[in-house]
Amino acid sequence: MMTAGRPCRRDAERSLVGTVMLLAGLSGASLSLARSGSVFGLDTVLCFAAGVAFAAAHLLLAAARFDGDQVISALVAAAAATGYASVLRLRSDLALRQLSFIWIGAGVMVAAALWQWKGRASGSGMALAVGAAALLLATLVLGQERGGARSWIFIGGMGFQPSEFAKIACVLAGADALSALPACREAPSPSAAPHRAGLGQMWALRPVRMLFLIWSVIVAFTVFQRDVGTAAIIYISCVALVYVASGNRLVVIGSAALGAAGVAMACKFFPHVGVRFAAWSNPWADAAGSSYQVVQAFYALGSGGMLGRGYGSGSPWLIPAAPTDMLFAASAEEIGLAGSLGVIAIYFLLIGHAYACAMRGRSPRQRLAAVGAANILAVQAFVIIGGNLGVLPLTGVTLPFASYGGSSMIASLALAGILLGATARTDAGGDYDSSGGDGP
Amino acid sequence: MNHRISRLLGAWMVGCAVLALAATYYQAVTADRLAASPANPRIANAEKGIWRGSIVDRNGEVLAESLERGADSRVYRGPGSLAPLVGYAHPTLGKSGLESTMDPWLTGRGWSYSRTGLLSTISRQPERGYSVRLTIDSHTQRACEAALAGRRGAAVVLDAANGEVLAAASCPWFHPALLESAWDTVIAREDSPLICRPLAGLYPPGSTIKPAIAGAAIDMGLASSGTVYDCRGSIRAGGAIISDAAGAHGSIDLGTAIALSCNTAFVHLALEAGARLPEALGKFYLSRSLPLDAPMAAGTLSGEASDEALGQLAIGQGDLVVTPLHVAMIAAAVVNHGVMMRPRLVAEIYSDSGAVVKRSSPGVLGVPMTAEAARIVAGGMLEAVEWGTARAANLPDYVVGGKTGTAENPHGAPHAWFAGFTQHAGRKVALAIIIENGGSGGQVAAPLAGSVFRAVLSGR
Repeated sequence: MMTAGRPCRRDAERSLVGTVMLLAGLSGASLSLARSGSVFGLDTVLCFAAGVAFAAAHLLLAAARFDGDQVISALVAAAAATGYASVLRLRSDLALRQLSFIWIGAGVMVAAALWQWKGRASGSGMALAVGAAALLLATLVLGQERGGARSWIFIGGMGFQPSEFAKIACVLAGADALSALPACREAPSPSAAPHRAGLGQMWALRPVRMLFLIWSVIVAFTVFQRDVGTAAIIYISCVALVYVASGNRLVVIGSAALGAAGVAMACKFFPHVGVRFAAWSNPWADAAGSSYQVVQAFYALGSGGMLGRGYGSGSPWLIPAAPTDMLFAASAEEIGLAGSLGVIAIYFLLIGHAYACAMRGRSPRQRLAAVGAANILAVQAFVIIGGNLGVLPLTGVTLPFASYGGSSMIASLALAGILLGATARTDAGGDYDSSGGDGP
Repeated sequence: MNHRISRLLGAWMVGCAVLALAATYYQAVTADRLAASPANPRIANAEKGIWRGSIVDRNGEVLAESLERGADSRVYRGPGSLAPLVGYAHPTLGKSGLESTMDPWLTGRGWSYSRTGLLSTISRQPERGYSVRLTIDSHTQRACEAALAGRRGAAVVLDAANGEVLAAASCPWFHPALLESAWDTVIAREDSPLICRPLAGLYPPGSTIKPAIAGAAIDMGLASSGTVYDCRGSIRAGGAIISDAAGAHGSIDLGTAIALSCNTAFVHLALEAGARLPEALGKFYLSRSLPLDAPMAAGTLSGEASDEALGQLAIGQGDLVVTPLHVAMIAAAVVNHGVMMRPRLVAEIYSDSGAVVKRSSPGVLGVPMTAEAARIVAGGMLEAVEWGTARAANLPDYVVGGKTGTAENPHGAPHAWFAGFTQHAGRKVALAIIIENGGSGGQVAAPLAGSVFRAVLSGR
């Protein structure tokens, strides 16, 4: 229950978001200087406005006396501001659209955080997941194809990707169902053996059976949309969530084997997946053809060097799909190794901090929700940065908070909101399961 | 379940470390190679915005310049016989010659392309590329061009003391400005006007190799200034008989053997030297290309040491083909006390404001023979010009040494060669000149050498 008079001013968040806002304004000024020769140009205002979205989010959270973590939203703001500067540099014509996505997303983040905090999210996971599955089915029937994947629905000219929102539903459904497992309760004393849940034990619970079913349906529909990257992200994140909830290593090993088999099948039945794998294993074999995109990313990375060529001096648009899938490599040319290590560091700190916060969650459901959201963000960031760097086969997914795209931006910020809400120290409204928490 | 969350945290840390390592690999370890790769589209794009630097001779006479930004407006001036060396930079035909090898400088990216990121934002891309000053002297070049007089052939002049290439004339040539319209006819022409003959033309050296063989034989102890050889007019080398056109020379010393170009004496020395001879000639770079800032062909000296191969090697025939620059380098080593200086074609690179960003300095390439051997060989070459086979190169007021060659080849009449040197007022200049299918070296090539030497020494 919310305690009156508790300090909820969120001073740390104010300082951090303020710093990010200032840095966003500075990167905008640098961009403006490089492009128009003036420090105070449109670019400065736009970048600053992207930072202001998170200042507004901060004020809303403080006004609602939300007492959760204060670092997460600042790091999300840093990722979004860096990404926004890169998108703005590549496509000025998309600047206002992307800015509105950030503002809408920041609002969604606050709403999701408060929704999660107040406990209204509890029990809604399965309903959302069923809705997401229905939407995916509708996409399969009615959707349109973009970039090899049939994952778009158009309503009145505005397109969106249901698979982005299916990720959130998967996380919430997982948190709801798996928190019922006894293995989620902490051992009464550090010396006692931790609880583990066997597969049979899990299967015996009806909510868990239903969860596995709806997860499989969502992953299968995503694969049928030929959006193998997103399917892999959901699959890996959910397996990691089951591992955290159950402690069952066999689940991990079995799922890895099943995943490998699935990838082999995908290579066989979807020609574009096999081509992506071939392009990854030897990018120089067909540099002008199938691996054109990744080879152009290498040239951009190399041309950036240690310190980068500076905003406005590079040619990042030479990489196909630069503002969306290839944003990391495209921005690396101008911000250099120093900048790309900085970008990696932002995600490292954000997700690392999210896991650390998840450990302090006040109930198993809150912890699992935080872990699930962090999993999705971690796997997606790794898959796409790794794809840009040639570590993994390139998949058409976005860099969370940074890449251009409304569905992706809003869904990523909603996940960040769920993460935030799950870190709340106090219980704002009857969470149905708060018995196992180690909160205050 | 916290320990399981901490395992995910550990996996995430490992993942980030992998990403950071991969980023470091592409942006630091292999960055320069990727940035400078010809397939990197940034390079072609950068050229469109740059004012390409000029190529000038040692006195600043413009050989190639751009009148405006971009690759479309290249203008070529200067002696036509330099055209194959300077090459061309053309938006559709590509680049050749010095325009190709000096391209990174001419387009202003001679400095590391990738590591100037932050600086390039402040200073912007250089507006103009760097200019290249050659060691070529247009005056000497024109003298060579006049000597060739439209015949197929090449002439190369070196400053033996510091390795500077003063002239590299190639004939025939084709003016780059007309190249695009005449491309099909030009590449079909049998006299190959695009080949830079002094550096990339490969010919059997004929008797011009004999100074190198004499030097090697002296250093092996097989001959000295007092050695007398009895020439009977022919000698057996493996299955072949090699004879002298002039008949038996009788008892001759090494100097006279050079002056009269006595085949029998040199075949005799080569057979005595055996397998050591190809090895010693390798020190004259006859088995590879010389280090130079322009495209350069490699000599084809092999290590084969059968009697038959040695006999052919001794008279510069057989499988051996070399460039005129290789031959000039032998003469330069002879006059420079056995020391072969690194040949230099580019004197300096300077920026639009005139500031020199790179300057070449003399360097020793190798010492293929001792100073004593060089002195004896030089003596023989002086005799050759004084009264021997090369006397048509005689200049009354100057010290001139030389060696003629008449190289048999499968394309018709023999190639006429002259390789030699002159010394005047402390300058040592070496020359190689070849007239393709010109006939006798002594009658065709040697008289041309005299006119080139006179122009070099009196011209400045």
